[in-house]
Amino acid sequence: MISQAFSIGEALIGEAPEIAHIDLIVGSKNGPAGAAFATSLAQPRMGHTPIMAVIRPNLPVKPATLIVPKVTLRDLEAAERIFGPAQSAVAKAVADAVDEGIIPREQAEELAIIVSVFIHPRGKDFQRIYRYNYSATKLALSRAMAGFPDIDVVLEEKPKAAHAMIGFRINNLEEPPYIGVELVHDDWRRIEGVLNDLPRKDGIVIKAGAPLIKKYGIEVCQKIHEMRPESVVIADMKSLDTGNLEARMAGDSTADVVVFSALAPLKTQERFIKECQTIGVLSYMDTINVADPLEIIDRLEVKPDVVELRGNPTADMIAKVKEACGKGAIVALASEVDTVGAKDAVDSGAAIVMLGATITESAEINRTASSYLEELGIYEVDQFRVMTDF
Amino acid sequence: MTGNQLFKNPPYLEVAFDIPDWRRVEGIIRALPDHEAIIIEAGTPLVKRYGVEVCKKIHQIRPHAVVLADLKTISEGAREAKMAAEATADVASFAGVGPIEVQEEFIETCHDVGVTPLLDTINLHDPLPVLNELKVKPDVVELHRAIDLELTDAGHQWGNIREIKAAIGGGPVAVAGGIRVPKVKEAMASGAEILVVGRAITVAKDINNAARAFLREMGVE
Repeated sequence: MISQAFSIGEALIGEAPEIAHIDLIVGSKNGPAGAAFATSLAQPRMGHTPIMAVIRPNLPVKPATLIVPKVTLRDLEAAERIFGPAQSAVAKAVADAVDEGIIPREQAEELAIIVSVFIHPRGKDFQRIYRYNYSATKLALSRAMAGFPDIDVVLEEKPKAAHAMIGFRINNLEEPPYIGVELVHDDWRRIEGVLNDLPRKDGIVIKAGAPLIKKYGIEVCQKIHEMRPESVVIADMKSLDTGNLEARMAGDSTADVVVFSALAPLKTQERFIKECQTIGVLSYMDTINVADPLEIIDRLEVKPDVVELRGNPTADMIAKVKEACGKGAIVALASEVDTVGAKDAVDSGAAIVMLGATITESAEINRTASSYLEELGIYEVDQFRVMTDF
Repeated sequence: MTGNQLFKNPPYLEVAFDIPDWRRVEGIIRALPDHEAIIIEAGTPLVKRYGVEVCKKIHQIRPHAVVLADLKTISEGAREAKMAAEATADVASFAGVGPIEVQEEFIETCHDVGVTPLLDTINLHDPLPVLNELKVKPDVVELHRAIDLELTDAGHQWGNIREIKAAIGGGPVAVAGGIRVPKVKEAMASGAEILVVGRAITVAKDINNAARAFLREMGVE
């Protein structure tokens, strides 16, 4: 049953090029869904003529269903795909949804449905077009009626999702712990070697060290992303001045996280953090030569997303830093610890263990990095998940 | 060359480029007067944007100019000093707020590779204790007020320039942060031998004249 003015459903089914992508609205004829239905039918646009879903010619389905083609129809061939298999597939799916109780039978007259249909111009196989659109429409309807997904599912899946078209997952430190690999060499060819040797795992984040940035310029972040599109890249700007300018520069060159120095004037730090918030990257406080990072964090008007601590901070210290920075803040530990030390750091509350020479100077970079991942129990998000639930 | 040799004919006008856009920077450098008193500073954002090689590109336009790589190093002292040398920088900066051992490593490496080390005092309230603690001294000290503070904090801290000069063996002291033409005499009277000017020149409509106004006020043109 629909509790809001209308419900929305979405589903993607099948294989390219006939793959079906359905977006739909279902709601009362007396509400905005009904108004949209009438307006759309009364005002066709060139190439996107809305048509009624019909079981067969002269037999429209109930609830009344309008099909709107997503792709501009340029010729009769394209029109045939919509007016043929897609039109009847959608109608059959709606009728079956009523038959199966997905849509309450008593609402068959009350509801209006608008189905936005995607058919790729290269999709030729009518069998596939029909079946995929039937399945996608029925799935989208049942999702709309069930209110799927609820917000808990969205928040749970958000960091795990890899977008189908960009082919990688934008995962901005939401699934700790991580192993950080800091690249301080000022020789790109060596860096390339290290990047190639590192395991391709989400659990590894890459830090472009300050010398590397000063040697080649901030575009190294983009070069790292070209080699490892899925990796979070931290740009170690260690900004001391012109905070907003440097943060923006790093963001523009695809850095996910940008580093400022806690030695900078407070105003610079605040401007840096605010700029990071504006452009949607994470701010990262470096605490080199800072005796008491907590004192600085307390004085900052806005707090960093990540704080890097050095040496051997206690669990209590880590907890205090996280508390001072507020919800979602994480602590990175920069220290060349062994795997046991890394485990201890994570047990004490660190989310990132930042390693430098331990990994980059290792004779077997891949094995060394893997041993840390194993010790920390870091597995791929999708590795043990069967992707059939939805 | 050490700072005393490099800066043997003060005063100097250091034009600072904080604009991270090489095409604009190139145009501005070409518009500057070709004067031996002008030092060109590759500002930190410019270096981080294009890499320290911008120093080499500046030298291609102005082969005789003294070029300063404003690295503001706070870690990896030796590595960054070498990078500056490889990129033909004449002067390279490190931050006085950094760890003492990093500063010493930076200064020593600069001396080894023939670059003049400059201590930048950004967010360092009093540079004297740091200068006294350093086993090796920088050749130049730049008293630096952060750009981010220019609009809020009006005062300059030029009171102890002579003591700072003494602490580094007589080397020049540069002053940076919001210096305009009417401030030149005051800065020089306090003992500063290098005046660092950024946007007062680089964002002027008539760059050449803006620079000349400073040079005239400094008495070198």
